[in-house]
Amino acid sequence: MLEQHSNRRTFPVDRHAGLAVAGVAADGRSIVGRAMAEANNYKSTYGEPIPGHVLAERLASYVHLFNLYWAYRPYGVASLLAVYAREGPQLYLVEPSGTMHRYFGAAVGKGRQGAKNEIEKLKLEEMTCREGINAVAKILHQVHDEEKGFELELAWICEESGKQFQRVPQQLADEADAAAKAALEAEDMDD
Amino acid sequence: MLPRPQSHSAALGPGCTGPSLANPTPLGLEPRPVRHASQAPACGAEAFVVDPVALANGQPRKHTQYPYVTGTSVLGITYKDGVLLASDTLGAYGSTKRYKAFERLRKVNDACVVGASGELSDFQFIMRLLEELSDDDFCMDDGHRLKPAEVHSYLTRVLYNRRNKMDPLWNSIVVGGFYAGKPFLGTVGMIGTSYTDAHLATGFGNHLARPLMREKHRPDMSEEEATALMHECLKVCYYRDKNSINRFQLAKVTADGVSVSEPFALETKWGYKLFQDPAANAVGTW
Repeated sequence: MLEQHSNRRTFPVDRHAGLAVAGVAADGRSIVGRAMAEANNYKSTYGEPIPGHVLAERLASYVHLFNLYWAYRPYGVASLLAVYAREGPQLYLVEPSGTMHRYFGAAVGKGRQGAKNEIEKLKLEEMTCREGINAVAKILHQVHDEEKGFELELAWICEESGKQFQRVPQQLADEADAAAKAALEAEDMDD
Repeated sequence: MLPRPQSHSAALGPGCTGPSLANPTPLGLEPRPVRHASQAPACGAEAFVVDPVALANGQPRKHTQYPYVTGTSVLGITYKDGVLLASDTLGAYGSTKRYKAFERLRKVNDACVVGASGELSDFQFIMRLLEELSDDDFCMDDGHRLKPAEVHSYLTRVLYNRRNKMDPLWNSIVVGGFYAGKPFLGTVGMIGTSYTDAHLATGFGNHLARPLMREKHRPDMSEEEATALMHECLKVCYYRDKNSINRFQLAKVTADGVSVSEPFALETKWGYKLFQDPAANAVGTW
Protein backbone atom coordinates (compact mmCIF):
# COMPACT_ATOMS: atom_id res chain seq x y z
CA MET A 1 0.00 0.00 0.00
CA LEU A 2 2.86 2.32 0.84
CA GLU A 3 3.97 4.68 -1.88
CA GLN A 4 7.42 3.69 -3.11
CA HIS A 5 10.36 5.58 -1.62
CA SER A 6 8.14 7.24 0.99
CA ASN A 7 9.81 5.41 3.86
CA ARG A 8 13.45 6.31 3.42
CA ARG A 9 16.12 4.69 5.55
CA THR A 10 19.19 6.35 4.05
CA PHE A 11 19.65 10.09 4.25
CA PRO A 12 22.20 12.60 3.04
CA VAL A 13 23.81 14.57 5.84
CA ASP A 14 26.22 16.67 3.83
CA ARG A 15 27.62 16.37 0.32
CA HIS A 16 30.19 13.85 1.51
CA ALA A 17 28.26 12.11 4.26
CA GLY A 18 25.19 9.96 4.63
CA LEU A 19 23.35 8.15 7.38
CA ALA A 20 21.48 4.85 7.34
CA VAL A 21 19.24 4.29 10.32
CA ALA A 22 17.59 1.23 11.83
CA GLY A 23 14.98 1.33 14.56
CA VAL A 24 12.36 3.95 15.36
CA ALA A 25 11.96 5.87 12.13
CA ALA A 26 11.04 9.17 13.77
CA ASP A 27 14.10 9.01 16.04
CA GLY A 28 16.13 8.30 12.94
CA ARG A 29 14.96 11.45 11.22
CA SER A 30 15.70 13.42 14.35
CA ILE A 31 19.27 12.13 14.38
CA VAL A 32 19.65 12.93 10.71
CA GLY A 33 18.52 16.48 11.43
CA ARG A 34 21.12 16.77 14.17
CA ALA A 35 23.83 15.36 11.91
CA MET A 36 22.96 17.89 9.19
CA ALA A 37 23.16 20.70 11.72
CA GLU A 38 26.56 19.49 12.96
CA ALA A 39 27.94 19.20 9.43
CA ASN A 40 26.61 22.64 8.53
CA ASN A 41 27.99 24.17 11.71
CA TYR A 42 31.43 22.64 11.19
CA LYS A 43 31.59 23.92 7.65
CA SER A 44 30.63 27.45 8.57
CA THR A 45 33.19 27.47 11.39
CA TYR A 46 36.16 25.82 9.72
CA GLY A 47 35.35 26.30 6.03
CA GLU A 48 35.81 22.65 5.11
CA PRO A 49 33.61 19.56 5.20
CA ILE A 50 33.34 17.82 8.55
CA PRO A 51 35.72 14.83 8.92
CA GLY A 52 34.12 11.46 9.64
CA HIS A 53 35.49 10.95 13.12
CA VAL A 54 34.35 14.40 14.24
CA LEU A 55 30.82 13.91 12.95
CA ALA A 56 30.62 10.43 14.45
CA GLU A 57 31.92 11.65 17.78
CA ARG A 58 29.53 14.57 17.89
CA LEU A 59 26.58 12.36 17.02
CA ALA A 60 27.61 9.82 19.65
CA SER A 61 27.93 12.53 22.30
CA TYR A 62 24.52 13.80 21.34
CA VAL A 63 22.73 10.46 21.62
CA HIS A 64 24.65 9.72 24.81
CA LEU A 65 23.05 12.74 26.49
CA PHE A 66 19.69 11.03 26.25
CA ASN A 67 20.88 8.30 28.59
CA LEU A 68 21.74 10.71 31.36
CA TYR A 69 18.48 12.26 32.56
CA TRP A 70 15.35 10.69 33.88
CA ALA A 71 13.18 12.97 31.78
CA TYR A 72 14.60 11.63 28.52
CA ARG A 73 14.56 8.23 26.95
CA PRO A 74 17.48 7.00 24.90
CA TYR A 75 17.24 7.16 21.15
CA GLY A 76 15.74 4.08 19.56
CA VAL A 77 18.04 3.89 16.58
CA ALA A 78 21.40 2.53 15.66
CA SER A 79 22.85 4.40 12.74
CA LEU A 80 25.51 3.72 10.16
CA LEU A 81 27.42 6.82 9.19
CA ALA A 82 29.27 6.87 5.88
CA VAL A 83 31.72 9.67 5.15
CA TYR A 84 34.11 10.22 2.26
CA ALA A 85 36.36 13.06 3.37
CA ARG A 86 40.04 13.86 3.10
CA GLU A 87 40.89 10.72 5.06
CA GLY A 88 39.15 8.54 2.47
CA PRO A 89 36.00 6.48 2.81
CA GLN A 90 34.97 5.67 6.36
CA LEU A 91 32.14 3.80 8.01
CA TYR A 92 31.01 4.42 11.58
CA LEU A 93 28.41 2.73 13.72
CA VAL A 94 26.75 5.01 16.28
CA GLU A 95 24.69 3.28 18.92
CA PRO A 96 21.99 4.68 21.23
CA SER A 97 24.29 4.21 24.21
CA GLY A 98 26.59 6.85 22.79
CA THR A 99 29.32 4.52 21.60
CA MET A 100 30.75 4.93 18.17
CA HIS A 101 33.18 2.65 16.37
CA ARG A 102 34.70 2.60 12.97
CA TYR A 103 34.26 -0.54 10.88
CA PHE A 104 35.16 -1.97 7.52
CA GLY A 105 31.76 -3.60 7.44
CA ALA A 106 28.86 -3.34 9.84
CA ALA A 107 25.17 -4.08 10.08
CA VAL A 108 22.37 -2.71 12.24
CA GLY A 109 18.77 -3.66 12.87
CA LYS A 110 16.92 -6.89 13.38
CA GLY A 111 18.91 -9.10 11.04
CA ARG A 112 22.30 -7.69 11.94
CA GLN A 113 23.75 -10.94 13.28
CA GLY A 114 23.12 -12.85 10.09
CA ALA A 115 24.22 -9.91 8.01
CA LYS A 116 27.46 -9.52 9.95
CA ASN A 117 28.26 -13.20 9.40
CA GLU A 118 27.82 -12.74 5.69
CA ILE A 119 29.87 -9.54 5.62
CA GLU A 120 32.74 -11.33 7.35
CA LYS A 121 32.91 -13.75 4.43
CA LEU A 122 33.45 -10.92 1.95
CA LYS A 123 36.89 -9.81 0.90
CA LEU A 124 36.30 -6.11 1.43
CA GLU A 125 39.82 -4.99 0.45
CA GLU A 126 39.48 -6.44 -3.03
CA MET A 127 35.96 -5.32 -3.69
CA THR A 128 34.86 -2.53 -6.01
CA CYS A 129 31.89 -0.40 -5.13
CA ARG A 130 29.73 -2.01 -7.81
CA GLU A 131 30.53 -5.48 -6.53
CA GLY A 132 29.76 -4.22 -3.05
CA ILE A 133 26.28 -3.25 -4.11
CA ASN A 134 25.56 -6.73 -5.40
CA ALA A 135 26.89 -8.27 -2.21
CA VAL A 136 24.85 -5.93 -0.02
CA ALA A 137 21.68 -6.60 -2.02
CA LYS A 138 22.23 -10.34 -1.66
CA ILE A 139 22.75 -10.13 2.10
CA LEU A 140 19.63 -8.01 2.52
CA HIS A 141 17.60 -10.60 0.65
CA GLN A 142 19.11 -13.35 2.78
CA VAL A 143 18.25 -11.79 6.12
CA HIS A 144 14.71 -10.75 5.21
CA ASP A 145 11.63 -12.98 5.44
CA GLU A 146 10.86 -14.37 2.05
CA GLU A 147 7.10 -13.85 2.21
CA LYS A 148 7.10 -10.42 3.73
CA GLY A 149 8.89 -8.53 1.02
CA PHE A 150 10.81 -5.30 1.46
CA GLU A 151 11.98 -2.31 -0.46
CA LEU A 152 15.64 -2.36 -1.31
CA GLU A 153 17.24 1.04 -0.83
CA LEU A 154 20.84 1.53 -1.83
CA ALA A 155 22.99 4.62 -1.47
CA TRP A 156 26.70 5.13 -1.97
CA ILE A 157 29.53 7.61 -1.66
CA CYS A 158 32.32 6.66 -4.01
CA GLU A 159 34.51 7.78 -6.88
CA GLU A 160 31.69 7.02 -9.28
CA SER A 161 29.31 9.39 -7.49
CA GLY A 162 31.97 12.08 -7.33
CA LYS A 163 32.61 11.41 -3.62
CA GLN A 164 29.12 12.70 -2.94
CA PHE A 165 26.21 10.99 -1.26
CA GLN A 166 23.97 9.57 -3.95
CA ARG A 167 21.21 7.04 -4.28
CA VAL A 168 22.50 4.21 -6.43
CA PRO A 169 21.10 4.81 -9.93
CA GLN A 170 17.83 2.94 -10.34
CA GLN A 171 19.13 0.78 -13.16
CA LEU A 172 22.14 -0.42 -11.13
CA ALA A 173 19.96 -1.02 -8.09
CA ASP A 174 17.50 -3.08 -10.10
CA GLU A 175 20.36 -5.11 -11.58
CA ALA A 176 21.80 -5.77 -8.13
CA ASP A 177 18.35 -6.75 -6.89
CA ALA A 178 17.83 -9.20 -9.74
CA ALA A 179 21.35 -10.62 -9.41
CA ALA A 180 20.85 -11.16 -5.68
CA LYS A 181 17.58 -12.98 -6.20
CA ALA A 182 19.07 -15.16 -8.94
CA ALA A 183 22.13 -16.02 -6.80
CA LEU A 184 19.96 -17.02 -3.86
CA GLU A 185 17.70 -19.15 -6.01
CA ALA A 186 20.72 -20.89 -7.51
CA GLU A 187 21.98 -21.65 -3.98
CA ASP A 188 18.57 -23.04 -3.04
CA MET A 189 18.64 -25.31 -6.05
CA ASP A 190 22.00 -26.70 -4.95
CA ASP A 191 20.66 -27.69 -1.54
CA MET B 1 18.65 38.35 45.07
CA LEU B 2 15.49 37.89 43.15
CA PRO B 3 13.36 34.97 44.29
CA ARG B 4 13.39 32.22 41.71
CA PRO B 5 10.06 30.77 40.71
CA GLN B 6 9.56 27.04 41.21
CA SER B 7 7.78 26.59 37.94
CA HIS B 8 8.05 28.16 34.55
CA SER B 9 4.34 28.38 34.38
CA ALA B 10 3.36 31.60 36.03
CA ALA B 11 0.00 31.18 34.41
CA LEU B 12 -1.11 29.06 37.36
CA GLY B 13 -1.39 32.25 39.34
CA PRO B 14 -0.13 33.04 42.81
CA GLY B 15 -0.68 30.53 45.55
CA CYS B 16 -0.90 27.43 43.39
CA THR B 17 2.54 25.99 43.98
CA GLY B 18 3.97 28.43 46.47
CA PRO B 19 4.28 32.09 47.21
CA SER B 20 7.24 32.51 44.90
CA LEU B 21 5.07 32.42 41.82
CA ALA B 22 3.47 35.66 42.87
CA ASN B 23 6.73 37.30 41.90
CA PRO B 24 7.52 38.05 38.31
CA THR B 25 10.32 35.95 36.85
CA PRO B 26 13.70 37.61 36.41
CA LEU B 27 13.19 37.21 32.69
CA GLY B 28 10.07 39.32 32.86
CA LEU B 29 11.87 42.04 34.73
CA GLU B 30 14.57 42.53 32.14
CA PRO B 31 13.94 45.51 29.95
CA ARG B 32 13.16 44.43 26.42
CA PRO B 33 13.89 46.54 23.39
CA VAL B 34 10.74 47.93 21.87
CA ARG B 35 10.01 46.16 18.61
CA HIS B 36 7.60 47.27 16.02
CA ALA B 37 5.88 44.01 15.42
CA SER B 38 4.45 44.97 12.08
CA GLN B 39 7.89 45.46 10.57
CA ALA B 40 9.77 42.75 12.42
CA PRO B 41 10.93 39.87 10.23
CA ALA B 42 9.79 36.40 11.21
CA CYS B 43 13.36 35.25 11.86
CA GLY B 44 13.44 37.27 15.08
CA ALA B 45 16.11 39.72 13.99
CA GLU B 46 15.57 43.42 13.97
CA ALA B 47 13.95 44.81 10.87
CA PHE B 48 16.65 47.34 10.29
CA VAL B 49 20.00 47.16 12.01
CA VAL B 50 23.04 49.28 11.50
CA ASP B 51 25.99 47.38 12.92
CA PRO B 52 26.46 48.91 16.41
CA VAL B 53 30.23 48.52 16.09
CA ALA B 54 30.07 50.92 13.21
CA LEU B 55 28.50 53.58 15.40
CA ALA B 56 30.66 53.00 18.47
CA ASN B 57 32.98 55.95 18.00
CA GLY B 58 30.29 58.24 16.70
CA GLN B 59 31.52 57.89 13.16
CA PRO B 60 30.13 55.53 10.54
CA ARG B 61 32.45 52.70 9.61
CA LYS B 62 34.37 53.63 6.52
CA HIS B 63 36.58 50.69 5.65
CA THR B 64 33.81 48.67 4.07
CA GLN B 65 32.80 51.61 1.94
CA TYR B 66 35.48 51.15 -0.61
CA PRO B 67 36.74 48.07 -2.39
CA TYR B 68 40.30 46.81 -1.97
CA VAL B 69 40.87 43.67 -4.04
CA THR B 70 38.75 43.95 -7.13
CA GLY B 71 37.83 42.10 -10.26
CA THR B 72 36.92 43.82 -13.49
CA SER B 73 34.15 43.15 -15.99
CA VAL B 74 32.09 39.98 -16.26
CA LEU B 75 30.35 39.36 -19.58
CA GLY B 76 27.35 37.17 -20.26
CA ILE B 77 25.36 36.23 -23.35
CA THR B 78 22.52 33.85 -24.03
CA TYR B 79 22.53 31.65 -27.09
CA LYS B 80 20.43 28.96 -28.65
CA ASP B 81 20.82 26.28 -26.02
CA GLY B 82 22.36 27.97 -23.04
CA VAL B 83 24.27 30.82 -21.51
CA LEU B 84 27.93 31.84 -21.68
CA LEU B 85 29.67 33.82 -18.97
CA ALA B 86 33.21 35.12 -19.25
CA SER B 87 35.70 37.04 -17.17
CA ASP B 88 39.43 37.28 -16.61
CA THR B 89 41.03 35.76 -13.53
CA LEU B 90 42.59 38.84 -11.99
CA GLY B 91 42.23 40.04 -8.44
CA ALA B 92 43.66 43.54 -8.52
CA TYR B 93 44.87 45.33 -5.39
CA GLY B 94 44.19 48.88 -6.46
CA SER B 95 45.92 48.87 -9.83
CA THR B 96 48.46 46.23 -8.78
CA LYS B 97 47.82 42.93 -10.50
CA ARG B 98 47.97 41.06 -7.22
CA TYR B 99 46.16 37.72 -7.69
CA LYS B 100 46.33 36.35 -11.20
CA ALA B 101 44.46 33.09 -10.78
CA PHE B 102 41.34 34.17 -8.95
CA GLU B 103 38.33 32.33 -10.35
CA ARG B 104 35.50 34.81 -10.55
CA LEU B 105 33.01 32.49 -12.23
CA ARG B 106 31.58 29.97 -9.82
CA LYS B 107 29.09 27.18 -10.10
CA VAL B 108 26.08 27.35 -7.80
CA ASN B 109 24.30 24.19 -8.88
CA ASP B 110 23.68 22.19 -12.04
CA ALA B 111 21.58 24.94 -13.55
CA CYS B 112 23.33 28.10 -12.46
CA VAL B 113 26.65 29.98 -12.34
CA VAL B 114 27.46 33.38 -10.94
CA GLY B 115 30.25 35.71 -11.90
CA ALA B 116 31.25 38.78 -9.94
CA SER B 117 33.19 41.95 -10.42
CA GLY B 118 34.03 44.35 -7.63
CA GLU B 119 35.33 43.52 -4.17
CA LEU B 120 36.40 39.90 -4.26
CA SER B 121 36.20 39.21 -0.54
CA ASP B 122 32.57 40.28 -0.67
CA PHE B 123 32.13 37.85 -3.55
CA GLN B 124 33.61 35.07 -1.45
CA PHE B 125 31.12 35.92 1.28
CA ILE B 126 28.27 35.82 -1.23
CA MET B 127 29.47 32.45 -2.51
CA ARG B 128 29.39 31.14 1.04
CA LEU B 129 25.74 32.12 1.30
CA LEU B 130 24.94 30.43 -1.98
CA GLU B 131 26.91 27.29 -1.12
CA GLU B 132 25.04 26.98 2.14
CA LEU B 133 21.75 27.25 0.29
CA SER B 134 22.69 24.62 -2.26
CA ASP B 135 24.05 22.31 0.46
CA ASP B 136 20.69 22.59 2.17
CA ASP B 137 19.00 21.73 -1.11
CA PHE B 138 21.26 18.70 -1.43
CA CYS B 139 20.39 17.48 2.06
CA MET B 140 16.67 17.95 1.48
CA ASP B 141 17.07 15.17 -1.05
CA ASP B 142 13.91 16.00 -2.97
CA GLY B 143 15.64 16.66 -6.27
CA HIS B 144 14.81 20.35 -6.23
CA ARG B 145 17.51 22.93 -6.79
CA LEU B 146 17.52 26.70 -6.73
CA LYS B 147 16.47 27.97 -10.12
CA PRO B 148 18.60 30.65 -11.75
CA ALA B 149 15.81 33.21 -11.39
CA GLU B 150 15.60 32.38 -7.68
CA VAL B 151 19.34 32.78 -7.20
CA HIS B 152 19.11 36.14 -8.98
CA SER B 153 16.19 37.26 -6.87
CA TYR B 154 17.92 36.11 -3.68
CA LEU B 155 21.05 38.07 -4.52
CA THR B 156 19.03 41.24 -5.18
CA ARG B 157 17.56 40.95 -1.70
CA VAL B 158 20.95 40.31 -0.08
CA LEU B 159 22.66 43.22 -1.82
CA TYR B 160 19.75 45.60 -1.28
CA ASN B 161 19.55 44.67 2.40
CA ARG B 162 23.24 45.36 2.86
CA ARG B 163 23.02 48.73 1.14
CA ASN B 164 20.18 49.60 3.54
CA LYS B 165 22.58 48.92 6.38
CA MET B 166 24.97 51.41 4.81
CA ASP B 167 27.39 48.50 4.48
CA PRO B 168 27.08 47.41 0.89
CA LEU B 169 28.58 44.34 -0.69
CA TRP B 170 30.72 46.02 -3.32
CA ASN B 171 29.88 43.79 -6.25
CA SER B 172 28.20 43.70 -9.60
CA ILE B 173 27.05 40.15 -10.10
CA VAL B 174 25.97 38.31 -13.21
CA VAL B 175 23.77 35.24 -12.80
CA GLY B 176 23.62 32.83 -15.71
CA GLY B 177 21.49 29.74 -15.85
CA PHE B 178 19.43 27.37 -17.87
CA TYR B 179 16.10 26.14 -16.62
CA ALA B 180 13.01 24.58 -18.25
CA GLY B 181 14.53 24.87 -21.71
CA LYS B 182 15.17 28.58 -21.37
CA PRO B 183 18.40 30.45 -20.77
CA PHE B 184 18.46 32.96 -17.93
CA LEU B 185 20.78 35.92 -17.62
CA GLY B 186 20.45 38.55 -14.94
CA THR B 187 22.58 41.07 -13.11
CA VAL B 188 22.57 42.65 -9.67
CA GLY B 189 24.37 45.86 -8.78
CA MET B 190 25.94 46.72 -5.42
CA ILE B 191 22.85 48.63 -4.27
CA GLY B 192 20.42 45.95 -5.37
CA THR B 193 19.59 47.27 -8.81
CA SER B 194 18.76 44.34 -11.02
CA TYR B 195 17.58 43.42 -14.46
CA THR B 196 17.63 40.55 -16.90
CA ASP B 197 18.62 40.74 -20.55
CA ALA B 198 19.76 38.60 -23.44
CA HIS B 199 23.31 39.87 -23.05
CA LEU B 200 24.97 41.57 -20.10
CA ALA B 201 28.18 43.04 -18.85
CA THR B 202 29.36 44.65 -15.62
CA GLY B 203 31.66 47.60 -15.10
CA PHE B 204 33.85 48.59 -18.03
CA GLY B 205 32.28 45.81 -20.05
CA ASN B 206 29.11 47.88 -20.17
CA HIS B 207 30.96 50.45 -22.24
CA LEU B 208 33.37 48.25 -24.15
CA ALA B 209 31.57 44.97 -24.78
CA ARG B 210 27.88 45.79 -24.76
CA PRO B 211 27.99 47.82 -28.02
CA LEU B 212 29.56 44.82 -29.75
CA MET B 213 26.94 42.53 -28.29
CA ARG B 214 24.11 44.81 -29.34
CA GLU B 215 25.48 44.72 -32.84
CA LYS B 216 26.19 41.01 -33.18
CA HIS B 217 24.11 39.14 -30.68
CA ARG B 218 21.12 37.04 -31.71
CA PRO B 219 19.18 34.81 -29.34
CA ASP B 220 19.46 31.90 -31.79
CA MET B 221 23.25 31.89 -32.04
CA SER B 222 25.04 28.55 -32.09
CA GLU B 223 27.60 27.75 -29.43
CA GLU B 224 30.50 28.42 -31.82
CA GLU B 225 29.13 31.81 -32.82
CA ALA B 226 28.48 32.74 -29.20
CA THR B 227 31.98 31.68 -28.18
CA ALA B 228 33.49 33.68 -31.02
CA LEU B 229 31.52 36.76 -29.99
CA MET B 230 32.58 36.28 -26.40
CA HIS B 231 36.25 36.02 -27.39
CA GLU B 232 35.96 39.19 -29.40
CA CYS B 233 34.34 41.05 -26.49
CA LEU B 234 36.98 39.77 -24.06
CA LYS B 235 39.72 40.89 -26.38
CA VAL B 236 38.28 44.37 -26.71
CA CYS B 237 37.94 44.60 -22.94
CA TYR B 238 41.51 43.43 -22.48
CA TYR B 239 42.88 45.99 -24.96
CA ARG B 240 41.10 48.91 -23.30
CA ASP B 241 40.84 48.00 -19.63
CA LYS B 242 44.16 48.36 -17.82
CA ASN B 243 42.89 46.41 -14.81
CA SER B 244 42.58 43.18 -16.75
CA ILE B 245 44.89 40.39 -17.79
CA ASN B 246 45.00 38.00 -20.71
CA ARG B 247 43.85 34.99 -18.74
CA PHE B 248 40.18 34.26 -19.12
CA GLN B 249 37.58 31.75 -18.09
CA LEU B 250 34.41 30.85 -19.90
CA ALA B 251 31.47 29.30 -18.10
CA LYS B 252 28.76 27.49 -20.00
CA VAL B 253 25.34 26.52 -18.74
CA THR B 254 23.19 24.24 -20.88
CA ALA B 255 20.57 21.59 -20.32
CA ASP B 256 23.50 19.21 -19.64
CA GLY B 257 24.73 21.24 -16.69
CA VAL B 258 27.45 23.70 -15.86
CA SER B 259 31.03 23.71 -17.06
CA VAL B 260 33.66 26.30 -16.20
CA SER B 261 36.62 26.17 -18.57
CA GLU B 262 40.25 26.05 -17.60
CA PRO B 263 41.89 29.47 -17.84
CA PHE B 264 43.05 30.34 -21.36
CA ALA B 265 44.73 33.24 -23.13
CA LEU B 266 43.59 34.97 -26.31
CA GLU B 267 45.87 35.94 -29.13
CA THR B 268 46.44 39.65 -29.11
CA LYS B 269 48.08 42.02 -31.50
CA TRP B 270 49.66 45.24 -30.32
CA GLY B 271 51.17 46.27 -33.66
CA TYR B 272 48.37 48.65 -34.57
CA LYS B 273 49.61 52.05 -35.56
CA LEU B 274 47.46 53.90 -33.08
CA PHE B 275 48.64 51.65 -30.29
CA GLN B 276 52.27 52.40 -31.14
CA ASP B 277 51.69 56.15 -31.25
CA PRO B 278 48.76 56.76 -28.94
CA ALA B 279 49.40 60.51 -28.75
CA ALA B 280 48.97 61.07 -32.48
CA ASN B 281 45.35 62.12 -32.16
CA ALA B 282 45.60 63.70 -28.75
CA VAL B 283 47.73 66.80 -28.89
CA GLY B 284 49.26 67.73 -25.58
CA THR B 285 49.62 64.21 -24.21
CA TRP B 286 52.72 62.11 -24.29
